[in-house]
Amino acid sequence: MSESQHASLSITLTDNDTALSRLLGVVRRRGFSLRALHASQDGAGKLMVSMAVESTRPVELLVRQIAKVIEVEVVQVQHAAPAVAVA
Amino acid sequence: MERVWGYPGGAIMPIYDALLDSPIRHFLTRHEQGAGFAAQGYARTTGRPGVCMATSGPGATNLVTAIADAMCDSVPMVAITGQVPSHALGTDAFQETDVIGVTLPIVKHSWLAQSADDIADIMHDAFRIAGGGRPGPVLIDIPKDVQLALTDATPKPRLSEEGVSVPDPVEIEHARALLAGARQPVIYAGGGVRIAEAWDELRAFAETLGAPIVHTLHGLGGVPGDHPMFLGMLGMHGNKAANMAVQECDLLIAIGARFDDRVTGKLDSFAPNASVIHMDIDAAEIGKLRRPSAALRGCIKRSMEAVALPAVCEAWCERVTGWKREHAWRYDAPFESIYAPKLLRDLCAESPDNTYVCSDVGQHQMWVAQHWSFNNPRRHLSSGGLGTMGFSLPAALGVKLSHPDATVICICGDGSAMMNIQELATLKRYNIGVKILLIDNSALGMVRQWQELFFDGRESEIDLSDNPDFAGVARAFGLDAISIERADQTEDAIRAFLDHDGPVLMHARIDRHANVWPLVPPGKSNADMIDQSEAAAAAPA
Repeated sequence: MSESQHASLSITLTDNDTALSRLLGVVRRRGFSLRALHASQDGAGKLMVSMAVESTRPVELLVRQIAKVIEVEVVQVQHAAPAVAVA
Repeated sequence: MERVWGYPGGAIMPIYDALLDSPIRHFLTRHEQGAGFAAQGYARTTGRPGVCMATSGPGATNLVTAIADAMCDSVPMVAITGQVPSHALGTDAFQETDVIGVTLPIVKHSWLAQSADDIADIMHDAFRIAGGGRPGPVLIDIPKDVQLALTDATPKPRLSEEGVSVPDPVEIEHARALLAGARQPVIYAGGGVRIAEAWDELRAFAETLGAPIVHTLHGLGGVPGDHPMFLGMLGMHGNKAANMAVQECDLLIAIGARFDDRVTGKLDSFAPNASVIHMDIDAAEIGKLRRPSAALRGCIKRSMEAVALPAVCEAWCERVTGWKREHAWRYDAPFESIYAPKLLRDLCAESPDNTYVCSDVGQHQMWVAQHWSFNNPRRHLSSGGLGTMGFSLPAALGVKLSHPDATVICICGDGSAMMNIQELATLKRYNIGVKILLIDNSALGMVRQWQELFFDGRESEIDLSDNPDFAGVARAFGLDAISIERADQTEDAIRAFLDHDGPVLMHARIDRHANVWPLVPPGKSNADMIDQSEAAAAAPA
């Protein structure tokens, strides 16, 4: 089995009632587990999201799928590293 | 938008009332799923978004399968659903379902219209997104009060549409270097060729390279079926020569194809010796399952034109052509009963060039793919990614309504015929001259075959020996019908079937135990493909 990887992403979306649901659905069905989430509106129609995800799959696969969400304007990987087990 | 397929109900009544004063032609199906697949029939054969409509609640949920199917096969579709009034949303109102939530994973995008002023912009964006880039379905959910509101809003001015995306010049040069160094290249072309309308470019590309070509299910017809270097479909029920060539190649040129599991078999043993050039409009497909050596993201027409150069592969082509001869299909079954592959080959030979074939899902689907020679990928409609039984009849009626001068043949099994059989009423209502070939083995044949081969012959819930009299059912719906069960009846029946004016069903009984060969067992490499004699030799005494 491949080693599990952690990654932190920052995403800028056009804000509407469905955008966050659509984004989180992509994370789940592409085989990534959500470990942390922060979302805030910038007051100018944008939703700023930062999230931590974990998966045995390369984060590039998730980034390319997130990029296809119509509301997504920018998606960036802030940090990626192998997951470390805590005793 | 000239035509829409749909079914009315309470929450969409204002739209249906407005239809009476609209030039848009509406076709009533007998199930919303039929409307969805009819819209697909239009979309798959024109490249333009097909439109379907339904009311809220069960009407909307009945569209879900056709929407998911469109997503899996990249079919442009605009689904419009009525919704309960805005003030009732979230109150568990009568026929309220969160169709936006239900369809989130299976649409490119969706909208809940909150104001009549937004409708014009939403419609503009819906058709643009459905048909743009990699096509797919979108959904517009419109509460009843929004449908009733008045507006004179028009679409906002937009920036000019995005131009055609071209691949990275560095990757193009890398691809050309790979091609120059290859001695055993294979072109692997899929449904993206049909979607991009790139069959002429593919044929020119193939002629320039001089390399063998294999097609996916949705790629069939990209090069004509009688092209000398076409080896057939690859994958689970592909032609042996096609799979052998891919397993032995040193360069695999993937064009509008996505390395689907029905194609690759065991992924880490697929094309084990090959570098890969991957051309696709969807960046997310490149590297998803197989890391390419050259990644050409963008318009596949431009990619093929940029990369094409003659390949040095004469010895390889001779070898591959030998495999093609050695593993050519045979039609000399000695039995009195109908042999489905021969029936399909003979029907293909007699059908006019303007024929569209809508296949359902199961053994007959694979026989169509193996034995029907397509001259254009738009001529072959099949539910590939989702594999939805019941696809063919409503899809065929959508095709015939969109191409009234064409011959449209729906090919289904006895299992799949029953899934949307109510659409025979739609054929009769509009006198839609679809020709239905129903291949009846009194079983869910593909499942029966798998139970025979992989579950020790333990049959579970595949027996359909209590089927109705399908010819009688067709006549009850007002269609004409032909019934055959012997091989010596097929020639005359085919002639009568093709000459018939108006909708007709030909019911053909075949042997219950007929299997589709060859086959790659689940979880195995395409190199482990087995045929009938190998399966018999491996069976316990």
